[in-house]
Amino acid sequence: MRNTLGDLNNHLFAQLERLSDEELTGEKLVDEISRAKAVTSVASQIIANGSLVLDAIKIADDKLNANTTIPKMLEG
Amino acid sequence: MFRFTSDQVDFIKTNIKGRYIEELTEMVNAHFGINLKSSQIRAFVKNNGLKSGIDARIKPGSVPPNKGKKGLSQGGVETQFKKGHKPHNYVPVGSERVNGDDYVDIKVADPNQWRGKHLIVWERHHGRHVPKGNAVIFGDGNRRNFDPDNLIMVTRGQLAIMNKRGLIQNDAELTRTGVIMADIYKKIGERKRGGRH
Repeated sequence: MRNTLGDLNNHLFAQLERLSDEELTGEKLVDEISRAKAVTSVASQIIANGSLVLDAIKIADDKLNANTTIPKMLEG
Repeated sequence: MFRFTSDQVDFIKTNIKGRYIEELTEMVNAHFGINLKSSQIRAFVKNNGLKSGIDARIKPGSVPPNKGKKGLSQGGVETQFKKGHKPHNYVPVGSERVNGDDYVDIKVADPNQWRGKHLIVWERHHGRHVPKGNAVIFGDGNRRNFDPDNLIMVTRGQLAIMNKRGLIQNDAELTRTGVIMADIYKKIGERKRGGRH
């Protein structure tokens, strides 16, 4: 499984590199741009998830209510 | 309201030449046995567009009325600061404060040179200045977290994109990913416009 934040960064760097390719023109460039948009939209979802998990952990850490339970989905 | 009779109007018109308003007022009051204020005469003169013909401009070579009165004091001397005193709210160099934008500042020089603490911490950690056109942001969005790991230098261009797209997260690592995404957004725009980079 390649699912750490570092892997995401590597994906993004790779995408940036492909997008920066000066050889790319015309239809291929349009394709690459739409791919870049797809990648960034997925990435923004991933980091939004990450920040949600962080928030969940923070709340669990200093919980005032001992009965607080974190949904399984949000367990970092 | 006072109304000027036609006699009075004629009197003023014939006597205004070469006279100041005060003098004219006295003449009118004496002649007609009335008691007008000089401001009333002045208003009448202005309203009717009359001219005294006096040239009241300051002539070359005239002596200013305050000549030789340098440092004229109007009182309050005993409450003024003496030389060499410090204001009661003076703080030494190195002090910290929270400025109006909720950033912590450090005093770097007298009398009033302050600089963002996050900039100073970043520069000390990296051993170089923050280049022009760049900013240092707090990775977790907490303006009190001065861990060098939490301070990220970005260009103003990246910062604009990150602010617009909400890429500054509540964790430094997530925000660093956001910086890369800002780069991609920037590149998308460049390639769309064509050729410019």
